Formats: sequence, C-alpha cells, structure tokens
Amino acid sequence: MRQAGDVAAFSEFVEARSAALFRTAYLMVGDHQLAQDLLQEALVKTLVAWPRLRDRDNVEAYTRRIVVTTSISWRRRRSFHERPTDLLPDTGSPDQTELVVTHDAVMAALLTVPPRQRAAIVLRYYQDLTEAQTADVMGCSVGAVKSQVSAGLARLRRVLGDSFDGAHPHEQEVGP
Amino acid sequence: MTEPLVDLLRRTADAVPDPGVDVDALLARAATRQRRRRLAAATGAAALVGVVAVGALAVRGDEPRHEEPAPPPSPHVEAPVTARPLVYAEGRTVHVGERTVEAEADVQFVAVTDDGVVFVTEDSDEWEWSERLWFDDGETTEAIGRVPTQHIGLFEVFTSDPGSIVVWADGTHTAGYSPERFVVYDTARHATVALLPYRGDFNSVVHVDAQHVYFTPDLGPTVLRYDLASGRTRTTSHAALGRELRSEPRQLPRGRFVQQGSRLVPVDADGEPVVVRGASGSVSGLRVPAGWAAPPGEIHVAQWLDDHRLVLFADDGGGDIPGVPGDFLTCDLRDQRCRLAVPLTRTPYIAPGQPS
Repeated sequence: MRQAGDVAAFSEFVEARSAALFRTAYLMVGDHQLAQDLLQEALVKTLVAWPRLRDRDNVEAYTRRIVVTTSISWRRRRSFHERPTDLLPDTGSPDQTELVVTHDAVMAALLTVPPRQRAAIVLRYYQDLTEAQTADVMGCSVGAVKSQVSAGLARLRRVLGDSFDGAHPHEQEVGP
Repeated sequence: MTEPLVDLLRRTADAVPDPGVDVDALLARAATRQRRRRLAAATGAAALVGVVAVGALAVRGDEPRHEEPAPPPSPHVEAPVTARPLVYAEGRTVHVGERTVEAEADVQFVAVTDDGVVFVTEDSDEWEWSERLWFDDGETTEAIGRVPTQHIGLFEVFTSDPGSIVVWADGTHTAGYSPERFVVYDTARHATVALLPYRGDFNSVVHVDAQHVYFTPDLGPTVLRYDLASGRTRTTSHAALGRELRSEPRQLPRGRFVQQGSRLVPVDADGEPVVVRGASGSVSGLRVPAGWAAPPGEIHVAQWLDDHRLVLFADDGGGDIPGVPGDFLTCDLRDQRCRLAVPLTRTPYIAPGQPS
C-alpha cells in the first residue's frame, strides 16, 4: 500500500506546512486568492514529483522553491489585483509620528518591487534563509542575491521611508 | 519608529487568514497531469532512456490490468496539410503570421487552428469567474464562448493539431467557478458542434484531434472518446489512446528544450532526453542560429507550423505579468535547424501552449 501511504504522508505534509507556505506565497503576490492559487499549484507540482522526493525532510524546501519560482514567472490576470506600474503607490508613507506601518502599506510597497527582488527579500528576511540558501532556491549566484536584495531594499525605502530597519538580524546588510 | 524588516514582513504575513486546502482536489489535478505526461510518453515523444512518468501516487486506479477492448476510432479523413502561421500576442495585439488582430482587451491566452487564431481576453470584472474566448479567421473576429478564469497557469483551451476543433470548459454560467460541460467548437464551420456534459467529479480533457475529444470523468482509468462524426461517446483507455496517437505526425513533448552548445535538446519534465517526432522522422536535437544563446529561462514548444516545422519559445524565466519577453524560433525537423523568427524585446509576449 505504498500509494496509500504516500497519500497519507502528503496529506500530513499539507496539514502541517500549508499555512507557512501560504504566507510566503502571500508575500510574493499580495492577494489572498492568488496566494491560494499559487500554493495549490505548488502543492500539485510537489505531488507529481513526490515519488522522486526521497528526502522527505526537504519536501517543504522543494515546495517553497516552486512557490517562489512560479510566482516569478507566472502569468496572471492583471486586473484581478493591481497593475504593474512605475508609479509608487500612495501608501501614506509614515511620518515620524506614526508608530507602525500598516499591513496594507507593507504589501503595497512589496508589490512595487520587481518579482526577483521581492523573492530575494522574502526568502532572506521572512524565511530567514542565508544568502547561499536563497541563491539555491532562486537558481542564481550568491552575488545575484546580494544585488537583488540591495535593489529591493532601496525600492522599499523609496516607498516606506525609514520606517524599517533593513539590517538582517544575523548578518550585515550587503551592498550591490 | 523603525521596525526590523523581519518583523514587518512577519506581521504582514501573519495578518492573512490561513488557506483552505482541498487535498482531494490536489490529488485530482496531479492525476490529470500524470495522465497527460503518460500520454505524451505513450505517443513516443518521451523515451530515449525509458522514462515513463513519475509514480502513480495520486491515481487511485491506474491503467487497467486487463484493458477493455477499445472500439476503433473513426477513420481519419485525409485533409490537405495546412501550414499554420506563427501566432503570438503582445498586449491587445495578436500576431498571426504577417497580419495582426487588435483585440478589445489584453490577450491572456492564444492558440491556433487550421482556420485562424483563438484567444482569450481579459474582461472587465463584470464576469469575475470567466473570460471571453474569441476566434478570428482573418476576416472577422467573433466571440465564441467564455472560459473559467485562470489566475496562475494556462487557460485550459485545447485545439486539434492539425484540424479545426477547439474544446474548453464552458464558463458561460460559472457564477461560482463550476463548469458543467465542455464546449466543442469547429472553426471551419464557425459553430459549436457539441456540448459534452460532465460525467464525473474531475472532468478533464486529455487530447483533441480533428475528429475526437478524449476526456476523463474522474480519477479512475476511464477515458471517454467523443466522436464528432457519429456524436457518440465511447469508453477507451489511456493505453489505447496512446496507441491511436502514434500515427499522428505532430507529437509534442510535454517538456522543454535545453541548450547544449549549438544544439537544443528536448527533455521531459524530469530533465531526461526525449525525441520529437514529425512527419519527417524523429530528432533528438536541433541546431540553433549562429551566435544565438538561450535566455536564462525555459524553452518550450509553442506550436507546429506544419508536419515538419515547429515553433519554440525561449523566455527569460523572470518576466513579469502578464507574459514574458523571449525569442520565437522556427525549427525544421528535416534539416534540424532553427531560425530566429521573433527576437526578444522588452515587450511581454503570450505564446501559444497547451496546458500540461
């Protein structure tokens, strides 16, 4: 009953990890419904690949990679959420009297960051991956990760001002 | 106040409610993909090294051990081979060979038949769950139906190759994304020629040719074959379908191409080498134009132009919405050479492609 066992194992994986994967997807696309579609697409691809995934400890990493790479290259219905624009959104950039940046402002700012830069930031700062791990997920060099993160942070600062500290908790922020 | 970016992102992500994930629906979608891959393998597109698709994890019943006798397909009517134009879209413009079609809205999907081009446009949000499907024959553009909205991935619109048949899940009445039938449309006749009611819980088209629609009703091994000539639907199997398709001249690999020096090598979804079969035989590699280098993305088959020539689309792998910039190459299986047909620009393209 290997197949039944695999289905059970996959179901357990979904139960345990789908919420965390979904949040990564959400930061990548900024919309609940789209993030759900993205997660489901990644889980289907994981399911198809399941017999080849011998190291079950890495299933989450495999699925997360699909979430990220799919979100970078996907095609979507533009009007469903926002349209790409060079104009920065009016997010009500916080002045010094505001204590926190709103959830909507953060998401709007993230969506002004090009997909690869956004992926690098989400992986480095939300997933807390190292530069090498981030490079592995994105399929690029460590140097490319550094430049993507640097450019993405600069973009975020244009929108959010100095409301956030871009220093990585475990490493010094890097330049391009 | 300055807040660490780590905390800012976590607070943002934690604010969204948890997703609802239907494992049975995931199993069904995975099973459909495995079936299509197996079909590609069965037709000979995959298999230099004996690759057959990944295990049948999600398939609760696999191919039957004792296959039911499948009725023979209707005799194929020999039609003159029609060369198709290279088709792609950018924004609202659909390129059909040397001519263009201006759509009413941005184009989200494009496909080709022997008679013209089929495309999906982004509608207003009046119809949130479906988009309009069009057909243009070079003289007129007509709305022929609605397809369920796809936010990620390709629209599930299937065309026969060669032939005039287009099949899609009917999105006309999908208030809640729940189609109940397939629409079969003949672009030569400009008419809907059949409506196929769903017969199970996970209805999915697996193949369309000039005279038949093959679809599955659920997760089991059953394949249903609708015969356009007789109007009858009969039961067959994936194995039988694979045998029936081996004689078809245009067999698309469900994978991609990778550049190895001056050659493009077809590989399957697992990266294993495969062959591409056309009327002039099989090839395991194609020569790229001098000096051409693949963008750092993937190279897919977009369409066949005729029984000998196909179009490859090489994207940059990191394009933004809605499409990606990339090169279109036309490749001739007779001399095994590719030529640059549409070079990469900053314009995002929508390339033809079948869902896999």
